[in-house]
Amino acid sequence: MAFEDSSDLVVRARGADRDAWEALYRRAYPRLLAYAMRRLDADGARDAVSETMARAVANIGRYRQVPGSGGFDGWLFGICRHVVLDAQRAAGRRGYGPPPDTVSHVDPAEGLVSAEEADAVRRAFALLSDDDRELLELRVVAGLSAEETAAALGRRAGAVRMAQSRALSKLRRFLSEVEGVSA
Amino acid sequence: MTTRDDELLDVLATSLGPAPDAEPTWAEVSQLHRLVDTAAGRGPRARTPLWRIRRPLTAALAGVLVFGTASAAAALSGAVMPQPVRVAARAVGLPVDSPDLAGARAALARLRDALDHRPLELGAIRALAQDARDRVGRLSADDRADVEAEATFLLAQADNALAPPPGPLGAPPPETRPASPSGAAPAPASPSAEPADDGGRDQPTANPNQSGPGSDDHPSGDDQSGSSAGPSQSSGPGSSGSSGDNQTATTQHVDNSGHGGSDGGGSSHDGGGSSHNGGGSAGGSSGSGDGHSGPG
Repeated sequence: MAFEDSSDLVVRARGADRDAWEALYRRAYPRLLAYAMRRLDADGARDAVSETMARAVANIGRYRQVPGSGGFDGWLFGICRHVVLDAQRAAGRRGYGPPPDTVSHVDPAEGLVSAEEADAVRRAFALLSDDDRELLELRVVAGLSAEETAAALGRRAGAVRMAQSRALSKLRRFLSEVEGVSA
Repeated sequence: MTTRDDELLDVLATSLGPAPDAEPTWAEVSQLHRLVDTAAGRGPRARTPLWRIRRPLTAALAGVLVFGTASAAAALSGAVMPQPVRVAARAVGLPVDSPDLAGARAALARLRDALDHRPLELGAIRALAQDARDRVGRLSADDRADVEAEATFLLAQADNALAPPPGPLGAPPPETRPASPSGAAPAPASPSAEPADDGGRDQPTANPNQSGPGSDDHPSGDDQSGSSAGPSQSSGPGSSGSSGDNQTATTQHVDNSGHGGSDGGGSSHDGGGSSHNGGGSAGGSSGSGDGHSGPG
């Protein structure tokens, strides 16, 4: 299915167009699931994604498409974030568990990073604070822009950029520490 | 190791990136479709939960229960029921008297009490009788049939009570006599008020009297009593009508001046009363006797 412009899909989705909703779902599903699986187990993550879409369908009337406000993806991941937090609260725990082993999708053929480098990055990433990890996950796992991440977190885009810069500096430092230890 | 933020983000994305083949299952997509249909109102609407209507339903049932019980109790016991409740009760088909009929019954009851009271308070009786006539006159045919007998009886009793006391035989008729047949009971009352009384009596009582035995005798008698004076008065008591009767009536008119006058004035009721008692040429005298005996 060729992706349509998100704004067109959203307009159709407001009119309860099933195809538009399915297209939005299929497009956001991998990122939503990857984001949820960072904090929940596989079943919980799938449930969280389904609940996210259910809330989106129920509340699409509240969504306002304002330029620079993060768009539909930012709104959708904001919902998913709350759903995940609710699920964590219901499970009696909060924050990150150990990084899942199944999220390493490094293709050695790409040559960008080696398996060892990817493992070092994940270990360094685990040393970041919850807020930093969440921000970077939204940026790199969910693939959101700074504006969309800001919308999901309920913050300003400038603040998100600054926080992202600080988080990457920490990650870089932790990565050097991890590589120094491993070396 | 990269140093620029964008490169580091790419490395991080590669290390933490999502599985490329992750897709929603068929069941998840179907569930989404159902959600969309439900939100759009196309799907089977969720039925209104019972708890949402339980409270107003309970209130409505309680109201109906209280209303029905109160109305039924009032209908059975004959207790006084507020008019709005009575109207509503009739509207829902409960066996309750109409407000007009209830008012007429109440007026007759008050009149009965006043007639039973000793000593008689003529002013109160006059007012209550007039009120009862008005109310009975406003009733529908069905409702009137329910109270007609009682109204006839009580109004005749009231007319007799209001009639001037009988004088001695052969005594000249009182000055108010011309008006008394028309004015019926309130003979001593002011002449100006009597035509009004007559009219008031004639109107509501005309119909019942017409149905009564004496009615066909005196439409004219009633009218005369209401409009004219003097000689024609004798025709009031002499409901059967001959001149001889009139004379006879006149002789007895002294006796009947009050009662016979009441017969004429309250033609409808009195006529009914006299007819019960036999009427005829002796109607004048018997009319007076009837007037007394009726209540008795």
